Amino acid sequence: MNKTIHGVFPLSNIIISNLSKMYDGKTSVLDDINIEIQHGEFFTLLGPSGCGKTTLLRIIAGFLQQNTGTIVYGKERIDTLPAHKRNIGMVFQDYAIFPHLNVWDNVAFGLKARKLGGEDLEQRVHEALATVRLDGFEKRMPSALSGGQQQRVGIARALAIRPRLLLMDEPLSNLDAKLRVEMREDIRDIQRELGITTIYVTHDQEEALAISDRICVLQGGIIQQVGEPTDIYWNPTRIFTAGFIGTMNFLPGAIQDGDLKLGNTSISLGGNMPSGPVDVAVRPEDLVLGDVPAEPCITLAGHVEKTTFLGREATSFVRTELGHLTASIVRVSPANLARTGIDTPVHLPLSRIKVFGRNGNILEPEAA
Amino acid sequence: MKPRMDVWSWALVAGWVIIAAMLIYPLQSIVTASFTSNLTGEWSLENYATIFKEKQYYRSLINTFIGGFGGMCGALILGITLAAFVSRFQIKGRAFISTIAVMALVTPPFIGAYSWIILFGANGVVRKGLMSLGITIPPIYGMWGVILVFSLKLFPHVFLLTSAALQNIDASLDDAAESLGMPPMQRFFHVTLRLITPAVTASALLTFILSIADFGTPRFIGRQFQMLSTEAYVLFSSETGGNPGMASAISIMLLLISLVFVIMQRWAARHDLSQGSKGRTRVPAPLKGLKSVVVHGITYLIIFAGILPTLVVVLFSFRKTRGPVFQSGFSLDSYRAIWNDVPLALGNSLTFSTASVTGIVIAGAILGYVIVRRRNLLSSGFDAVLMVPYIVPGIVMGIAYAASFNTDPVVLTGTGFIIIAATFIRRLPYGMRAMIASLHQVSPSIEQAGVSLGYHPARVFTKVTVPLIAPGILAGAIMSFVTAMNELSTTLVLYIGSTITMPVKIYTLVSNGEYGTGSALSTILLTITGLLVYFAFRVGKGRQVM
Repeated sequence: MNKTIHGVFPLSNIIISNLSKMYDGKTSVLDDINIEIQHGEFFTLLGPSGCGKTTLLRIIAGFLQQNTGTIVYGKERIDTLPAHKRNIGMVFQDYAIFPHLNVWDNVAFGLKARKLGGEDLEQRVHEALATVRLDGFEKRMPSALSGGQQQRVGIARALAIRPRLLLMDEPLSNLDAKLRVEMREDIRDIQRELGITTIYVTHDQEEALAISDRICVLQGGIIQQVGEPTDIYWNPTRIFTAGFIGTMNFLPGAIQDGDLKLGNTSISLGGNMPSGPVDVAVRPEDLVLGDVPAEPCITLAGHVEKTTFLGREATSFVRTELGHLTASIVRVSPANLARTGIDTPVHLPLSRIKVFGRNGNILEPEAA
Repeated sequence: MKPRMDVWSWALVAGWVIIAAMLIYPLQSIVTASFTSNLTGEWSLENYATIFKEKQYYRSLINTFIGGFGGMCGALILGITLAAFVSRFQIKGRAFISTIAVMALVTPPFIGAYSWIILFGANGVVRKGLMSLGITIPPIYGMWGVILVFSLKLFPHVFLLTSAALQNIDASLDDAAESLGMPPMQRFFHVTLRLITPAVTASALLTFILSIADFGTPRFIGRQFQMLSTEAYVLFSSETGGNPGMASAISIMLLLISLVFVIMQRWAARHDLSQGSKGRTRVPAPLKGLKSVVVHGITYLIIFAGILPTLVVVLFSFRKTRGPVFQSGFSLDSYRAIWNDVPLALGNSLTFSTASVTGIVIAGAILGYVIVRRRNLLSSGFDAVLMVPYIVPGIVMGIAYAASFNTDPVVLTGTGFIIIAATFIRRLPYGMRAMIASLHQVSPSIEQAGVSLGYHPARVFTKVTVPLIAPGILAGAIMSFVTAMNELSTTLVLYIGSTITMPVKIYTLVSNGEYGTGSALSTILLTITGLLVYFAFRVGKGRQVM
């Protein structure tokens, strides 16, 4: 499409070091944040509301000042620059389209700040509008645009200035569910096409999994885990990540004499582990009801309390002596839907369970 | 990292300097004067003691409450009746009624007062007409006259606020109460009345505050019934040199009463239950037969009484006169008689109003922005201190200015600047409210978008924020201009011959019994006011500009 934008950005990483932010000098919002974002990467800050993700984004944009730490782009320190000199594009949750300017003038706004004019300006605005597929809307006023179109203007406006970095603050949260999925694919395609480094903030874990190269899970102002979506989902290293991403079952257990003790069952996980109480986590789709699977499992006695039909899959709620478990039934049939109110064994495949210590960190068996 | 001193921090500092010099310093000087003995020049409470000892003073204190409560009760009865009729029934000419209400609001109060003298004064037209029919009614002067004029002048406030509250109530609440089995009368008392009570209370307290601050009405038709505002003026401006200590003590008395009621009014306004319940509004019921005649009759009678002063003034400006006495027939005599006075008074009014409103717009936009976008201790404090001009009655502000700026270090008395400065500080909070209201419509992220696209924050303010709040600023500026043009009490204390304004000129003409020329000048002032208000509503696009 517009390869001219591509290649303008020098290959530079963003390095955030020892960054922290406090309000009123005491309430810690961000605590010792260290992140390195690769050039061209789609990097997502994910966490519940109040986790500090938006604060971090606004510090990068220059709308807030950190208390300690640095932000470096390539070799240049950017956290000391005022916001309007950072050359960072930003896309806002409420679109923030200038209501008194038409689409064209909105997109040209940042170019005029850069004293661009004539053909250069015209070409850049056209490129940007073409990128978000809004050609032909130049003369429209924002009030005559839908929410999705307004957000496209917001993206075009941020891209037109050829920023070194694109920040997106929950850009899809004001759109309806169907449009959200559509726009999310568009944003991903545009980002790939241009190869622009993007930091994206969301509280929607599904959105984060779908769109990101890497995800940084934040909670209470502290980085819980940074990794690729599959990593975050399959190999959570913190109990918070395990619970926040997707659905997870937790059962109380303990490590005794190096073995995992769950209810009456005691089983070796293939290595030594420090003694103490633990939480055992397992995904609903990894649970097996009824027949004994081939792989080694922990088996609990269960009672199916109800089964909810969801179309593509179904969910069974199973009571065990250690607590309730949610199990996904991927192959739905009238027979397994009818399994309400019966007793059935629940199998937890050993390769699928995660064990977390009381400090929230994952416990891995140490090879003897 | 240390907070940087940016443009906005400097603006806030400048704002505090203005407040200190133009508000705190003058008020402080009358507070000091009120505690200073006229005889010894030392600190003393004797001025305050005198208020409660001398009959003349404590009468005017009591009269202030009588006038305030009387005006409030009258305004409540008229305003609520009108609001209830207009919002519950299909009244013909609603838009007309609202327009008349707004027009009555912007009519200067002293014009209302002396229209009633023309009609019902000792030589009043209506009174004389009735006398020739053998019916004798007492002239309008005194307590009842003051209360009547206050009621008729101020009921539009109650009407506008109450009908807005009634309009805001979600009709589903009434339906919900009905479905829960509540009969209509109980629904009215437990639901509707309960929800509009804070709004009605706020409007009632507002009419009280405006009544006790009014000067023209008790001055013109009070006669024996003097209030604190007129008492303070007489004490300060008396031919025999005046009594600054007593004038200050009485001013402070008036200010304290005003303060208490403003606090109560704010409290009631904050607890408005009708706000924010967005839902269906009730459909007005159709009217038929006798009920329709009665409801329409009462509605238009109230409206007619509200607009009557304006009609009388316009009509009588075209009456034939011989000297101050009206003759039968019409002519332009009155206009011819004042023609030579108009350029100076109108010129002054326009110059002073333009200058003070320019200041209000600039200071209001910048400081309003600081208050909305940069919340900190200094800006919140500034917001709070700007409540003070709401509390200070015009006559008190005039006295404070005259007392403060007539000696070193700064002598301003007799200049046009002192009138501009006093008007500026009195109307700044109103102008700033208008800015703040429009600023709240602009999301902070819109400004941040401008910054992230590469403009300096100050450029974003002029390129993005100002265009977005411009209609609000313009509407607010015009309304400030209207009130500045019609300001009487402060200017009356501060003017000299060469700085006379339209309202003061009208006041002096009417004081001398020259009703014809007074009417002609008033008509000119009313015409300008009416045109400006119309224009304000056009640019404000029906948004709240009052």
